[in-house]
Amino acid sequence: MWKEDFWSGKLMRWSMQDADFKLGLFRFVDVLPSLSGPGPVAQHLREYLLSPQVDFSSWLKTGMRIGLSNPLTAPLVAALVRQNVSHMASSFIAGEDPDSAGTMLKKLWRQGRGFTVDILGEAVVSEEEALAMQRQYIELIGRLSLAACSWPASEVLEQAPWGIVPRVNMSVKCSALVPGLDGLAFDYYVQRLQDRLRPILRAAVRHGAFVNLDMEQNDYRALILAAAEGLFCEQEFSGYPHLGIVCQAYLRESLADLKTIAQWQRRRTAPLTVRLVKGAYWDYEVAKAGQRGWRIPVYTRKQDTDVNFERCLESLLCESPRLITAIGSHNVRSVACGMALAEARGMPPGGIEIQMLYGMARSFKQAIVKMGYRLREYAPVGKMLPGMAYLVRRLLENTSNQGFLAAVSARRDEVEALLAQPTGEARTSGGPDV
Amino acid sequence: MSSKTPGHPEVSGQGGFLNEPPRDFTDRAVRDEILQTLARVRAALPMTAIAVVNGLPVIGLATVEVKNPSRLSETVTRLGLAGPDQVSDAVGACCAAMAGWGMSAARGRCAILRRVAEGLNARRSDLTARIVLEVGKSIREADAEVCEAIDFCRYYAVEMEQLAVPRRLQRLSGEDNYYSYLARGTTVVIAPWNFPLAILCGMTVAALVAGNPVIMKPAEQASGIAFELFEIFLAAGVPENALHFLSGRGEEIGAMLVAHPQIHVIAFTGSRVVGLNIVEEAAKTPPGQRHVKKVIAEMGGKNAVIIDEDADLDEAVVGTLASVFGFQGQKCSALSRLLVHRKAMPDFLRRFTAALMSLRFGPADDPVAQIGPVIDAEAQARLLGVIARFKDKIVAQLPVPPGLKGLGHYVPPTVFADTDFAAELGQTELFGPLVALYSVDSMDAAVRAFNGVDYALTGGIYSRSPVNIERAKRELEVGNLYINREITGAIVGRQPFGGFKLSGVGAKAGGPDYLLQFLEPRTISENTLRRGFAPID
Repeated sequence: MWKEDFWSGKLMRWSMQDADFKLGLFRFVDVLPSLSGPGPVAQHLREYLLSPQVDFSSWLKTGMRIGLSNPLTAPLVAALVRQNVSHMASSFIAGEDPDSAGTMLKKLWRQGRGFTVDILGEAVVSEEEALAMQRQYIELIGRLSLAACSWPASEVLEQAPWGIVPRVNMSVKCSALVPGLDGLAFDYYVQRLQDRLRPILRAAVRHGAFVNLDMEQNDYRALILAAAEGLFCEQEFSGYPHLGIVCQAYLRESLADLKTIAQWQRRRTAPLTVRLVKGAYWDYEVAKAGQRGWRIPVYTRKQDTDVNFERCLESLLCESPRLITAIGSHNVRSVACGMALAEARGMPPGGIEIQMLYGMARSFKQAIVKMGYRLREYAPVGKMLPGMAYLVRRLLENTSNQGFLAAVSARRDEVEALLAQPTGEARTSGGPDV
Repeated sequence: MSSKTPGHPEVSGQGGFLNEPPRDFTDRAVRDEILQTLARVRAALPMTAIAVVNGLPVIGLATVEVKNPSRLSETVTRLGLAGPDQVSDAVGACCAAMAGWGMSAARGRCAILRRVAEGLNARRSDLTARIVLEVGKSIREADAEVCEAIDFCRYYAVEMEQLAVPRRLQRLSGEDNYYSYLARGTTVVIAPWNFPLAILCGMTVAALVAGNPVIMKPAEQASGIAFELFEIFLAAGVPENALHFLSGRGEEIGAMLVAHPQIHVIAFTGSRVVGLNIVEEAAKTPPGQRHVKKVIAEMGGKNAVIIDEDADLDEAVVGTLASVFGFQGQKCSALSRLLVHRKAMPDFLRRFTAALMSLRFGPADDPVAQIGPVIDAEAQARLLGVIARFKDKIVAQLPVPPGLKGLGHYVPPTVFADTDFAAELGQTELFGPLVALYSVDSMDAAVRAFNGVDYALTGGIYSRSPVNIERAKRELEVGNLYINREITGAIVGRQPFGGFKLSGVGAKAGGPDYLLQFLEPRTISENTLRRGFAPID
């Protein structure tokens, strides 16, 4: 009953079947790292997973209840649960610090997989915390560059039609560099972001490393795009080929954003990578828009996001070689579509790259590597406490009944259905506002 | 989830009411518009506020000048001081208006309220700018306030439509029992300066839509925006004899109005001292007064938030910072006491104070500014006095930049740490950018401290323990309790606002019971049996 894999697998399945259980589990996981000992852990376990409305396998629930009610065994139950959650977390988090991360990333490299590192942290609410994050990014670029020196050469991971692909790749969260981003003081915050990013970019240039600006919630999108435009077009960086930005296909504005990016990219003399993803903040965007009474900025049906993703792929690939396409998806149809579109344009496999999250879709990753494509893993690094927000999002994805991976495990024999061209309202050729 | 535009009547909560959405400032067009409007309004200052009775401005009154609290070199409003004559004229006119307005069809009054909402919406940026300049509120908060004013109009219109339908009580053959409402009578609305548009609007439209003639008595510090609102009311069709505007000194005309025997309802939002004084005065029944006055008073708070051991500090720090320092703490809903669990204290204190030190001072019209001025010299002196008195308890303070000192009424946001809940710091409403932190050992201690004040307005808890959250819901004595979010920013129809104990008398604004305070219920019972013959039902 207490074997690690059994626990994780069962938890995932129950989460998909029972909404109350899922809510209880994720809330428990979210609070777990901030609990100071077995007492609080046991108490929260009771409150979240043993309450009457949470209904999962009764023998397990009874077992837990008995274990938790006895003062001798309660700490043991608490410790086991904590261990299990840590184990779950560690399968999604590449390491707690630069050194342990370096070890894991080298292992990936040997398996033919590249990386992009994301630093997990608490929300940045002060200048102090922001400056600490900036230092962390710069330090990580340096440390990983040093560690990666000794790695063996890899043609597929390091060679591309336009030149060398750096080994070290950082994904930067703008909200972690400037607290209180607010569109009202737009120009002010764009400048602050640029000032904070510049030293990180300079560190990257010094080490020949890649820096990518992540996209986060929609409130920050315009700010991040404007900051990127200004900064990447500065003389110091306009010729630097190892810079990237993200486009989220679940946003109705994504196609328009791609056109804007393509426009200002013309002012630069080196290519820019665009990571196309579907988007990881869907619940948040829908809730916020509802509370504000604003139009929902994301597609509300999954098929529409899938359709838009493919439209964006086409648009992005048209801009090759000025824009380099990185496909960020675990959806085989979406990835295959990208590969096919690139191939149809006469691009070699090295002309694009596939990006997937560390800890997910293992068999797909192996297949992609075997096919000779450059695969990059999005690898978060950080301690468990700040890592929880990230972990809960991953758990949400993994237990989403709409997730591709869940669909695969549920319907193995319906390959055609899974690979069918998505249809939805975004299919017509017209403005993005359809 | 609908993709229809907000405001669409089909997509709604109760009976067609939808909250007015705040503006999206990431849109350059929206940003440019508000900044241009600010410049235009500023160039056209000062605003004027004159007493108006029966649609006629009162000429020849003494005037006073009110300064922009962000920039004292600017006169923002010139207001006329109404006196006893204006008071009796206005009250007289209201009594005469009662027959017409009080007996008018509710449908017509509701339509007027909706036109007021449209009128406010049409001047959205303009009104936002005036609030920013007159009381030193940030652009974002001022925009939200305009939304709130619009919401009050629409919400109370919907409520009144429902209340206007007489209710049949039981179905009996031969006996018809109907429950309906009448307007109470002439209402004086005494409004505060801190929500100079929304609260004035909410109280006034509630009284009006119920059929009561109204005398508006705005705060002296915020009469300019009040006068704009008054003009919007008249333009929307409120009859000139049913609504009067008396700008002036609260201690003069306010007191006169409260004591006047022909005033039926007093709707007040302001300080505890003035509020309790009004309650006392209004209880009197001088000769010639044939009724007992109704007082609705929203008075103030000493609001606390409990930070539990397992609180999500990312959310707690951001939420409490906004609740303490939003509009420089000048809200009755503002947070002024933080009850932090001993184990959470080190991290919370460190991050909260660091976040405070990262805030930026500036005049309210500057979109970059996060901390603006306090309302006037009196408030500034009072708050500086409090800071001086408790200076050994200060743990963090954001100093006023040298360039701003003297430019406006700026007060340094200050964090105190104390252990004595009973001291002034933990009991008296300070109404400024000040907060006191206390360490608590347990939920028991936290609940005791939370409830241990004279007030019961807003409060909250940041916790991830379902048991503690349930306990908070049961035991925390406040009218507006917030769980895991900031404790300010109540939205009409979603968070009906108001407290009890010494925080207020009367039901919650923006809620289903508010209008009842402005109405007199009546039961009409008719015997319909004639010679043993009853109508068929």
